Amino acid sequence: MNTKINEFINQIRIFKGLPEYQNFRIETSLREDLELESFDLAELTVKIEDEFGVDIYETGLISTYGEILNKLNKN
Amino acid sequence: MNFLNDDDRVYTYKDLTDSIASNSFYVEYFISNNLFDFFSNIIKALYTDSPIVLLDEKIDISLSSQIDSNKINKATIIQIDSKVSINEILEKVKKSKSKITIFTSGTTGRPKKISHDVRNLISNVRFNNLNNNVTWGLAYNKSHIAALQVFLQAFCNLSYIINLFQKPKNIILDKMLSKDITHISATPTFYRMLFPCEYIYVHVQRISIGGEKPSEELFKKLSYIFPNAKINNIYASTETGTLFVSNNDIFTVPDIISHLIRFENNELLIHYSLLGDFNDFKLQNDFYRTGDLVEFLDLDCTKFKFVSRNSNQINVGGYKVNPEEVENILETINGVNNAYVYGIDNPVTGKLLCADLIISKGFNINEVEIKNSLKSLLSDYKIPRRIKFVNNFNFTKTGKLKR
Repeated sequence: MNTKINEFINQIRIFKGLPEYQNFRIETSLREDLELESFDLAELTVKIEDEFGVDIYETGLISTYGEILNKLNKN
Repeated sequence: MNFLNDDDRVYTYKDLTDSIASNSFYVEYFISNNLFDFFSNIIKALYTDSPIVLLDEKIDISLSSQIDSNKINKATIIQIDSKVSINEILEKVKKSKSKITIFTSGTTGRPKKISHDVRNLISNVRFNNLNNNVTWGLAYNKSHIAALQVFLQAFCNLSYIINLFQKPKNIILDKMLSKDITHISATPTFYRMLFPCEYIYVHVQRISIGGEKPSEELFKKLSYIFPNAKINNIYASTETGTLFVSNNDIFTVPDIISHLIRFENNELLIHYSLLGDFNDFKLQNDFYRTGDLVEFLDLDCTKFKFVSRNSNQINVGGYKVNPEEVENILETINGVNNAYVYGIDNPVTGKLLCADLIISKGFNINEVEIKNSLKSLLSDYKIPRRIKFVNNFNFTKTGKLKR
């Protein structure tokens, strides 16, 4: 699961001209560390929902990598 | 007196005056990634009653056919007194006879060109109490009409502008505190990105929401973090500029323009005298059909809510995208036989742009390659963020795709 999420995030980063991110941690911030903007986060939510069938924003906005994993683990 | 803060570089109104007075030229079709130069060029055009066209750094390929590339960044000589003061500039700008041209996604796949009289745009400017220090957060793309209105509002009051466009959340929140931003005009997507938010911004006086239909939940959240702000919901478009303003999601037609507004089958129609000059709008008895549908809340039909905005276009985070324009571009990519572009609901941007593609036999092309091809052809917000490869479309195609 983590590998797939990392792949989605890095696809978005590469499209933006950013290098691949390696050091994913629970506390990694989607906006500050991964530099994802609103359109990027929108894309990420759809890709995760397509892959895992879970809307990670269903119960409110999230801000860290760990929160994505938590949402998916709960489902 | 500060004029602009962009990427932590601060420009004063003296810098602006010097830049205007020291150059005896301006550029009608100016492309620049420097916000100060971009604004300074606008003021030079307005000061000399010259026409100006607002362009993004990246011109869509569909737009390039409407613009003579020889005119881009070509300087035109103008006469400006080298000792002119900022107040003299301001007074002349307020009476400027310039026309400002802006491009917007058309409904036919071809961008619409709309020219506004500066005097009409300036008639929407509110003049501040002199004792009130106003600092604007600029959260729109500089070539869009919403940014132009924020710029004119700030410049006409000699207020400070902080560029927040496409800045990360932590920088926006930091600037909101450290620069004491008092006024922000932005899309619901911009405001949604601020949450979760740990701070309360008591110094913020006005929050304007435009571009998309905001939810009641967003109003509540904004009222909480900006407890002293007047929250305005604005109905505006590239064609009209600001038309209606409300402090919630219920609008009324101002008396002064009531004879210029009509509703037909709950669709909003606007008299052409409220529109800028345009090249390809279709009018019906002098009225422009907006495609925006309303729901009336009283029997006299004076109070209304917007139910849906322009059905042809997809509103992605406040930016209107014409799906047919994107389909036409996608179909120019080698191997793409047929394209269908649509929006799906998304909690972050309201809608997310998606494309289904039918690929010609014998071609092998992936999502990343398609997106990379689009980078040089379309503005970022028009690039579909999810691309699926399909064998056929699941609906009837009768000349026009059913959306």
